[in-house]
Amino acid sequence: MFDFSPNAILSAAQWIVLVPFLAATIIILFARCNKTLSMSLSVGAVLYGFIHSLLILDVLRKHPELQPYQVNYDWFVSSAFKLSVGVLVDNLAAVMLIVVCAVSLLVQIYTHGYMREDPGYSRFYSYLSLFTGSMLGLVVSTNLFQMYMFWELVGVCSYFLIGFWFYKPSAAAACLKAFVINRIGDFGFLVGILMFFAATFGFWNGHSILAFTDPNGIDLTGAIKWAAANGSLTAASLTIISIFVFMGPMAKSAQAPLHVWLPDALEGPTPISALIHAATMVAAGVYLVARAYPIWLTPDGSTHSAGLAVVAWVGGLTAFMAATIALTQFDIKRALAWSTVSQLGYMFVGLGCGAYTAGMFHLFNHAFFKAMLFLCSGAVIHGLAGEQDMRKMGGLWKKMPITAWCFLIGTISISGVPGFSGFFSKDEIIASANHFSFGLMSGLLGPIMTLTAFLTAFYMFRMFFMTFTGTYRGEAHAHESPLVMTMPLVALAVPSVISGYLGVNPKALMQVISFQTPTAFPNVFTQFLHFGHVEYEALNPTVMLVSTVVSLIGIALAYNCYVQKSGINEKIAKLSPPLYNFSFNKWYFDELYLGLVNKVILPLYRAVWSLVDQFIVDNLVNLTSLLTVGSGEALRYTENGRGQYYAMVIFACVAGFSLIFLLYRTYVGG
Amino acid sequence: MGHDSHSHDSHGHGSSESGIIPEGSLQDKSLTLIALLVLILMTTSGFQWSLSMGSAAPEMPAETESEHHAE
Repeated sequence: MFDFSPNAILSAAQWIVLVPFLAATIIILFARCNKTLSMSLSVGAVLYGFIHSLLILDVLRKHPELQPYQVNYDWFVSSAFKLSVGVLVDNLAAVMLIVVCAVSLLVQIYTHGYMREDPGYSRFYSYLSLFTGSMLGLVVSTNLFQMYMFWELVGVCSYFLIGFWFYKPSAAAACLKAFVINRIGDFGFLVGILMFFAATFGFWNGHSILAFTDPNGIDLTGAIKWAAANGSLTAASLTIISIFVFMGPMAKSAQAPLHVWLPDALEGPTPISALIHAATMVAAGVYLVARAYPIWLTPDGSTHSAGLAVVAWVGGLTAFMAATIALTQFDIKRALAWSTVSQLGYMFVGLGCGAYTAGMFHLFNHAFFKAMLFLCSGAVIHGLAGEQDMRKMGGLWKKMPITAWCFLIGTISISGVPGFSGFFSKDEIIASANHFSFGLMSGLLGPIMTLTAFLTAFYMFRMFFMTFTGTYRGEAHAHESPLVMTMPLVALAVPSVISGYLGVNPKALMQVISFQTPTAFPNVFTQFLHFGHVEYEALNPTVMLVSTVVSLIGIALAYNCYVQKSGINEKIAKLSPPLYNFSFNKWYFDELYLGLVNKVILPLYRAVWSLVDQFIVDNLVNLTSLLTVGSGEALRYTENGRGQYYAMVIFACVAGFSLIFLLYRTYVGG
Repeated sequence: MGHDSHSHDSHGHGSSESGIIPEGSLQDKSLTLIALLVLILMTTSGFQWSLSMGSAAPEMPAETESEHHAE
């Protein structure tokens, strides 16, 4: 049985990571021809992880005084520094383990129904195991270098999965795009790590470098304080480092301007879209910011920092941009993808405004309802024989009741309707954005996030009404998915409703409902997961009221446009075609990047190639060969085969050298 | 626009896997039960977690805006 000893917890965490890797290896090497065995190994591995994650959470919840649990193994040791790999289990890791394992398990169950006819069924399960293992490895990493290693593994797995149907040119292009964009972000991430390491080099002194946490203070926080006191790190240089490191999360979590890969990543099968968009890959960026949070603070540990302001603004602008794009998309998965980009922006706003718990709480809630929404979209696509265009859907409520109910729950939750999980976390983030105060424009962030909440409610209910209400506009014979696909939807629908209550105390809710002056009450999520000392805040009835009203207006407008067919949406689109096209064409980011590559980067590359390769290198090589030919040509006249001539040359050389030696002795001495 | 060519329009490139596991098979039933188990475990764990705060938890003084953002 599972006991409470640190060794048992660390051992369980190690196996949670290792078992999916083992499953993937066995499937690839031995079980690819056996579908049942492949599926059983993969599902069994993540089921093991899920159950042990729950046990770990239970232990940490009951014994908060014992954590964090950590074990490190030497990987590379030199006189100057030590690289380690290990396992770190604390509250942050425990929450992420639950999210990753629960979503991955339900996605893998759903996969069986979705991919049963696909010839790549076993290969898909092996990739799923590898992907899950990589993400779990990232979650329990003890230091930045180890995290970077798993970070890259997650990137490689996403490349495999997005390009799963590699024979489709669009899928091949999409996985390449994801890979290249992530390389750009990862390059910045690596540069940031190296800059940080260079600034804090003398601090580590034989201990594991870049550790996230350490009982003796040999960790990121300690390193920053040491370097600041030592003069090797200033607030400005720490900000620059934090921006470089943030390039990794920007790419991985699809934040502008490195967001363009995520909507194209839908070329992969829908289960992997759900996994990428909910629990793995995109969550990794948010997790990195939360895990290495001291890097984004000031050297003295304040949240009033330029690094966090960059995080908040990138998140805020991305959230708004993605919401405006989602308004006009007709592909059901693509619209959901833009909603993911937008919601990730909310998480970064939370972290960037210093509301650490709110950011992570939104990640926790979002994982469940976004996974469910994607799986629902997959069920719709499955039921309509591959159709993804919402203009060819409609009226599916009666034909797919379970899917429709689950989609509605997810839609209500993400729209921020009171009582559902998304409301509580989004509300906290909007409240923190309203209090954001760094720089001249800081007062705009709160209104931008409130406006985005309105847009979210509108585009999500637009999707719901276009898909499930009205009359069916397609040709396929629509049908509900089998139980093996609908049960995971139901299993995700429950936390989509109730998980929000972990972040709010019922007494605080009652105060708001009964119009009493709000006071701060403890809640379990904040108590469990916080940065520094725990702080409880009173609910803000004004923010709650405003965000509720804007959400309801968004829903009412969507109802008016897509159920009552008032035609307002068409009138607005016709009123300003450039604005509509700007949204429909995704703010022209793809065109901009294509233009940048074709008009700037490629000509620059050609110019450099022409100057360096063609002119300098080629001419140097030609000069070398010319010199060789010339000297050979000159010397060949001396190779005449006559012994007397050779003897004369030897004699002349000896005489010449003797003369030089003599002159040297006479005039220089020695 | 991308098209999700899932099982209905896949064409079997590059794999030696064969046979389709039929709907309603033992595998389907087992996986459905596991999904149900996940639902029960998550809900139970969530309720236990939310109850762990207890009604006896101390009421904290309301934090002022200036305190929170003093940093």
